[in-house]
Amino acid sequence: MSTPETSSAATVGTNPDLTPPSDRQILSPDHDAETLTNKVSSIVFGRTPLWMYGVFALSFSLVGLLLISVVYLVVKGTGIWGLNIPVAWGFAIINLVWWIGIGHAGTLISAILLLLNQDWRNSINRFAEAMTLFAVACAVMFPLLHTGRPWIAAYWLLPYPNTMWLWPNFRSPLMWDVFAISTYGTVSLLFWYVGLVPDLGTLRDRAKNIHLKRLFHSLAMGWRGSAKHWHNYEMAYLLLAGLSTPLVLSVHSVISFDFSVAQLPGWHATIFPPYFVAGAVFAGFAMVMLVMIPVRFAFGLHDMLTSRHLQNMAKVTLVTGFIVCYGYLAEFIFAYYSGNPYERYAIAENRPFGPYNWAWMMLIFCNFLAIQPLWFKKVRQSPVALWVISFIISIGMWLERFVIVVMSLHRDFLPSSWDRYAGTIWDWGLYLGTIGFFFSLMFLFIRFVPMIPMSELKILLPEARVKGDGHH
Amino acid sequence: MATAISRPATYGLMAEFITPQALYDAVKAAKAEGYEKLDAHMPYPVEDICHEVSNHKRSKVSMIVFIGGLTGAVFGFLFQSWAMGALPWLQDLTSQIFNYQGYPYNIGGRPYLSWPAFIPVTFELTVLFGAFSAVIGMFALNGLPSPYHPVFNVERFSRHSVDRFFLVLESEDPKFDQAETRSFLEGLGPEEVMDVDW
Amino acid sequence: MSEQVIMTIDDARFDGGDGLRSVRQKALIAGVIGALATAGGYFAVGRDVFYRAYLIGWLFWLGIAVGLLSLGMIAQVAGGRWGIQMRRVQEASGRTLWFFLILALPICFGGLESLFSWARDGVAASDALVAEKTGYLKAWFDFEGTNPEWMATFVPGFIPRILIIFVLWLLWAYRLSALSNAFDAAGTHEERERARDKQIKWCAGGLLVFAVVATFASIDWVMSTDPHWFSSLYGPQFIIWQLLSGVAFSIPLMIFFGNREPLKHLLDPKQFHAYGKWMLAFTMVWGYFNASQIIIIWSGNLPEEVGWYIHRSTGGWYWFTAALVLFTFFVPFVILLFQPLKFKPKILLRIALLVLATRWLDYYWNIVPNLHPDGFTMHVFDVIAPIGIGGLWIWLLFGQVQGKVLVPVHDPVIQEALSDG
Repeated sequence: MSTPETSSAATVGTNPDLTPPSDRQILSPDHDAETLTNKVSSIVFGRTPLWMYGVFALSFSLVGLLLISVVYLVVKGTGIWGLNIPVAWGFAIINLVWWIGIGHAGTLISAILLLLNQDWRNSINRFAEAMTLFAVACAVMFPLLHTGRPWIAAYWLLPYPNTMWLWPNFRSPLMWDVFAISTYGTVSLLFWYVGLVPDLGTLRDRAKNIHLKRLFHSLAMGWRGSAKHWHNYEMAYLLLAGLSTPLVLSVHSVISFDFSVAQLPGWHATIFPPYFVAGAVFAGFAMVMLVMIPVRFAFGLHDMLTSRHLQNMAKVTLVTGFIVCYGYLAEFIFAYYSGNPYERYAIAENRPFGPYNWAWMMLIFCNFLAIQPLWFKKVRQSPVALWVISFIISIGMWLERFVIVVMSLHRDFLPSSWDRYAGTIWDWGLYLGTIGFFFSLMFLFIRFVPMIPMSELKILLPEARVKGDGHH
Repeated sequence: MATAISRPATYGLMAEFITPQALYDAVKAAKAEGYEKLDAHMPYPVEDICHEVSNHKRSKVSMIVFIGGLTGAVFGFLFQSWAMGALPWLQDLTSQIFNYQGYPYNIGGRPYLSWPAFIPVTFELTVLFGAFSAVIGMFALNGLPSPYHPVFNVERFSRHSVDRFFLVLESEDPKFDQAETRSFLEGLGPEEVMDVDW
Repeated sequence: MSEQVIMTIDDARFDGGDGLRSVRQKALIAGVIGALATAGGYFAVGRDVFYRAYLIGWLFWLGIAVGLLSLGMIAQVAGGRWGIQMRRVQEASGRTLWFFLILALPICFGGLESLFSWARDGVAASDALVAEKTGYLKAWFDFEGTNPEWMATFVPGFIPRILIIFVLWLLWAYRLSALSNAFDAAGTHEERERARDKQIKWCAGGLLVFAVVATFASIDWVMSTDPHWFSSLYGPQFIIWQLLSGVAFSIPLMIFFGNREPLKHLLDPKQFHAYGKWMLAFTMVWGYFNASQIIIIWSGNLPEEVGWYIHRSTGGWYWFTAALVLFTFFVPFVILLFQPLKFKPKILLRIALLVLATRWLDYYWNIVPNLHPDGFTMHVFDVIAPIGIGGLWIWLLFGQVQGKVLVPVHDPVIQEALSDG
């Protein structure tokens, strides 16, 4: 590789004649540090494109639905939901698990792929991390709201002794959830912010308006790109990745404990922690593609979010999808092998032949059959196909939680207590409302924050390599 | 500070380079010349320059994180055990100091010291403490936030975050001499050499 | 990409020389003496001790062999510079797997009743839980009172399952070796690309097959020593045992091959660092799986499950368990956290030996308390049996690398690594 002499300082603005990157490249070869900076920061400093008003209005109207659902919930109580005995956990927990799962791809992309030296992550990590944060924000609404009185939920959930000086029960997985999700949200925010600091410095240096300049300068903590600073920064970033990796595994494992430590057939299985984690990453990657493919198209980011990115994400989706399917298989094998008639009934009879077998069959379709085309390179190269598959997976992973939660609860040990369950209009309103909330935040992020990490992408430029003797 | 009298006239001299390779060579040359108080500024981390400027020392962040994480683990486990009424020695200790101790819960016949159940929260707190140590430690070691720094007085420096590479030799270095240092820097083939005002 | 020939196929061949001969000789001596001692032990220590020591020794070395092969497959699918150097050696280990199939014969045709209570006459009749599982827990196909009945014809028992598992493993082992040869033989760039695509597809599919196979292997060979107990996390655990064994055994192999042509210039400290990272990662996954399993089973507190942990936390087993957790998880975890240590082959070698020792302890911990729930037990013979098996296997493994091409010279990653010098 040669150091391009062509990267002259005179090139101002985006070069319209960029060579499209080949199948293997993660960055168009015509980019240099300046064109990269211009292209990414122009989204932040430029005018809002017209289509964005449209999609934002659409998603924001769903936020309106969210507000109405929340207000009505607070006024009337959780009786407006479809919950009853025996299905006392319904949409709230399904949506919690679904949203947290979606967030997991962000941490996986930014942390695990960093540790594995997968440099293609450098252009998508900020985007995916933002998704994590917003997905966690949507997720935490559900445990708060399901208490019916969210304003005092904090008092019940947080580790804080009551007036009798009794502490919450630390043997309960619900308590573990509080720690896991709050730690996850906090660490994701820290990770995201630390990654953003150098780019905030860039924005400061690009901003024309003095107030904006000051704002970005403060947010960047006065970052000045000093080598000594980078030295500590790189170490801290790596360590944050090292901490986030087991963290992301632990979060969905803890969520899976909500189910698996109970004795209910269909819930009590030791495979649950890794199976939930894989499902989370699977759903998360699907959501990254679901959002990123249109954004890539809308902003013409084909030179930074290349076909290679999509192909790699498709591969990760395929791998994690198979781990999820392994979980289904293991559930069947061990339902038989347990020798327990209740286990056998719940897994091998009620799921495929019970009243909700449509959900189970759709689940197998969405999470097993629909991902098989990803074996073929042609499919992995087609953004449209990937988008459709991602959409199917997102539905499939919601159904998976529906199958686990509702189908295990509605027929437990005693046939006389069996019952049916369906979400009410308010359940759906809240769910769709959080989707609107998520997309509204995503659009704000895309508009106001550099969605592609400029400093990290520049490391991938050919001229960033130094031939020194100080190599270890 | 009242010691402004002894302060040199400028913060130092700054040289601008186009490529990281040029900056790397310049850092090596400056160090070979005997300059110790120097810094490099760049839009993205170039490993070799970072190592050179930090004199090949390992970053202290890792040790801070290790200690922070360990603290989180120990605190997390002891706190849960204490709140659930286990560990008599700890209960005695807090009774003596705060006149207060954890309440022994018996839920489902589980032991007070239910260590398998304490694993998740212990782990989460390890990570939480570790992550905060990483971020706070990194900013503290870097002396950030620093709202004001002389390098920002140079107008061209605003490109340090885009595509340019800067070497700064500080005037507090015993080897620093306005004229001599300037000619040294100019010998390194920079785009430009600039004074950095206070 | 410019085709720059730095190493030819003939350069990449491992001729072995004195170093190889000496290792093979020592291994053969240890193996023969160990095998004789093992055979003699059958008459000296009694069936029960003999078969459990034999089973654990068999699982231990089998875990290394399959672990090495699986690592090679993971490296092929994941790509990157960390795995490609050792892949041919790892493939060679796959070609030794038939050895373990032969070694399974005594377990199938002599040790079944000693090791597995479900195989004993009359147990299914007196044990309701075992009676529920007789469709699976059986030696051949049909078993008296197979439950449910259709499983009598369609579900193979323990002995045919061993055959199926090994046939699948061997199929992939030999197929991957053949594909590697095809890759080396390919003349043009396009042919190589096609060969590589084929390799990747086979490896990806193989990992799926291996995961399913490992699940049945874990149930049959380890879990069913206590026919009541079950844990659906056992298959993934079995995989991690094997991968951890494979990574740990790769370190001494890397030291051996790093001193000799043709891998001499390819195995630099960065490779050791990568393997150190994998060792750390798998150690953490081991901790994660075990912690998850105990949290779920301890909290659920169901009688058919929790007994497994009660056996391991009472009697002398308590200290054995504590030592296992300390040396399998905490000690290697803390040491491997320190980055500079992972660049030092000598230190890594020591950790690898510790990890290998704990692999043996782990198999012991998973099996023997099921056979002796009332108290800790160990016999000198428990250590002798693995030595015999291991000596013979190492002799075979090094036979498989002799004269073989160890560097896929046409691979772009290798080209890049070679030109970086």
